Amino acid sequence: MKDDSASISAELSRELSLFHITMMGLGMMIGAGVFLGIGNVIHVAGPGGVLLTFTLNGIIALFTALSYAELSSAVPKAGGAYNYARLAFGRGPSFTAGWMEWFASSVAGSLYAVTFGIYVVRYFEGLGLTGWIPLSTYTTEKTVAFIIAVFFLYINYRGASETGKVGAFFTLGQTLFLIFIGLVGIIVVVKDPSRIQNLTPYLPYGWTKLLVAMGFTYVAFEGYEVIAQAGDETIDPKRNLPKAMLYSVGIVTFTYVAVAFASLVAVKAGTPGVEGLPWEWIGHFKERGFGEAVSRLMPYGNFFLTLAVIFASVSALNATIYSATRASYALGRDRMLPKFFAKISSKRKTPSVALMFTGIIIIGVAILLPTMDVASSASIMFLLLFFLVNISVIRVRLNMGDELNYGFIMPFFPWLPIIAIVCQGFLAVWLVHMSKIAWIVAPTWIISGIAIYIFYSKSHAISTADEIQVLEEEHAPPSDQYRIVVGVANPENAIPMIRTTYYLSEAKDARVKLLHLVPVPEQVPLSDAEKFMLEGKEGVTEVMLSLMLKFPITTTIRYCRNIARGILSAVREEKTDMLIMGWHGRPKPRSHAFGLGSTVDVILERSPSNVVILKNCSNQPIKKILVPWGGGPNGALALEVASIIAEKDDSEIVAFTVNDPRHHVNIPPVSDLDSNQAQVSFGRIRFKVAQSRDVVSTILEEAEEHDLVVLGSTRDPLIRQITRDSVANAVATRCQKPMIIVKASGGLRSWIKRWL
Amino acid sequence: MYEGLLIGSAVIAFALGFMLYIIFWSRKAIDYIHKNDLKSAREINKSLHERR
Repeated sequence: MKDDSASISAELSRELSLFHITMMGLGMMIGAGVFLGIGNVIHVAGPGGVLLTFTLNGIIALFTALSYAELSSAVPKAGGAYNYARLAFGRGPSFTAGWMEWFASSVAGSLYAVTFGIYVVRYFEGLGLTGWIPLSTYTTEKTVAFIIAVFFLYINYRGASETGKVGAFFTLGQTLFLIFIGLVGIIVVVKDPSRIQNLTPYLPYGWTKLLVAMGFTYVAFEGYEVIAQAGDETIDPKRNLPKAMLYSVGIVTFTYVAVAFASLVAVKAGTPGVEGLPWEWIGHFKERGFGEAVSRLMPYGNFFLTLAVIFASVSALNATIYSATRASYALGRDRMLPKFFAKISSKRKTPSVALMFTGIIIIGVAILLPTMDVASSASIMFLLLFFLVNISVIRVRLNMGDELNYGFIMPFFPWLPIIAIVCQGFLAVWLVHMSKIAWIVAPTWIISGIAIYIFYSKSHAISTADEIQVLEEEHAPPSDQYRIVVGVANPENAIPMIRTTYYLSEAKDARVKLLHLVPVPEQVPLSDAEKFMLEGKEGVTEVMLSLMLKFPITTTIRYCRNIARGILSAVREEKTDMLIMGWHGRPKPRSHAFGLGSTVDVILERSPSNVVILKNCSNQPIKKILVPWGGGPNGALALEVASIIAEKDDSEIVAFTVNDPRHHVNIPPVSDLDSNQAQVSFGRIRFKVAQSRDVVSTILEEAEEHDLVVLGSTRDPLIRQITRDSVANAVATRCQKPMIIVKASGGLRSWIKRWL
Repeated sequence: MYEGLLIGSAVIAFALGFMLYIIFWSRKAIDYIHKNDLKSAREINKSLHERR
């Protein structure tokens, strides 16, 4: 009987607009970094340091926001970095991302609670209302931080979490207030230009201190994670999520720079109570410096600032508790952490256990660590988390760029994420100068996470639909033999490959693995994948029967959502030297972005191994082989493959070069090939040169007189392949004769491809 | 004395200008991708390149 309940699915209603999610991001960012950061950065890096810190951090944050924007437009689901790392690298890094996200958000929550404590105590101290408290200022601040954290943990437990819609207006208010402060700063300078001298000396402690300052204030730019978490509730998420991420980073960067500028010019040198240079005076207050500056900038500045800080820190604290709880809940839901993390309170319908553990981290860090160590710990964890996201965006684009539906792709790919990776790694390491405690806390958390993954999560985690899974596999004993993987789709595709595979395997003394991939549509559950296996199994059996008497052969059958990605992942895992596969020879329409088809194109571009693709091949003996010769590693491999076949079938090879009189191209002679690297039968090769303006047609005419064409693939950069057809692509698609297309692996490029 | 201030201001102006350029370029790209119903990264790259 059909289970009707299986067809009922639940989803959140999409009610959050671009405005709401932009404000969510802003609310998470304008929490503490700016309020605590300005005074501290002025103290550490001087007046120019604070302006450069927020500007350059904004640029690095923008690059990471572009990565988040691209990934969230392709995967607009709640989960953020945890989802992206899973898509890019699988379970292990995904667990690490979720684990780091949990801690980073929790520690950011600690920072917001501490900020609240500092500014509330400062305000009441200013009114003279704290004299009766028998505690030091520091202890009082920590006590207030503890109380506000407990209060919001309880609010979250009650389920009265602030919604994006209500929170948006509070955030708008506090952002407008900060922009107003920035404008007042500009007006002050226009009225009294001498205050511009407050910005000198610009970088009194040098550039190294600037890097330290950038490191510990980076937490002020982490709002796009919460925007990514709202993917399930956003209207038109593919369009709005990336826009919101970019807008929020842009708005906070301009706001921070304006506010930092206003703080610097707020104090006039020589006024009563101001000792030394104005920036030194602000800096000596450290985290209270911003408040002291603003209180001198405008009437009632102290009162309005305290109000802004209260709104900013409580809304950010609430958002981080929500975000951290959701991260640990997701780990429990996927059984990466024990099941009880996913326990929902029957009374309140909130994830009570995840919330309890999140609360322990928030309160523990807020109480036990000094303020700047809390800020540094949060910054390090976010820097490392974003580091992982930036690597993920490169890997996802390279491996899944053709199968995901993107709503946005970043410009200057992959240079912007690479710059962000380098900068974030550098800032994270440099933070050791600011807080050694942070560099003990963060690695301890990550290492403990890796241990939990190895000893618990690995064996308990639930599979997801995105993973490529091995259904059946025979393992060959480890050896240093040359490895060939043969992709087999069905019996029709398998039989013509037998002869070439046999020749190449024997010449290379190779170990052969037959690979069959079972493409299962997204709509079909994993449990039904085996229904798709039958046809491929017949093909694998056919090839096995023909080759197993001559070679040690193993087989593997895998489930995947996309054939090209499945093949590439198998090639990488098997550390394959050569991939052999068949091609039906039907290219995509001209308007399509692919030249040879979505599988062959992707494999030729991205496989780290040598690739041999057979088109229209049969098992008939070959007498004349044509190799269009243009030099390069692909040409060398084409001659090598042709030579191996020629030796077996006793055939002649024609190395054919077409010179276009309009473009002089210096083609190296075949004799330049290193006979140690390529098994080329020079004695069988005859050279032929033709002059023609139509290179493709001349090659096709020549091909008619031969039994087989062996063609080296193009090495043109991807962008040129997109914008105009290469000669190799044109010949490959138009030639009706039996054809082998080859592409050679190569050095560093191949190593990077294998890793990515 | 003002040399650092001038260099620093130039760096900030350039960085903020670059940020605005990237944000506005991205905004236009997002709208273009949706208007033309483009899907894969390859398709989007090709189309954006042709548009230029």
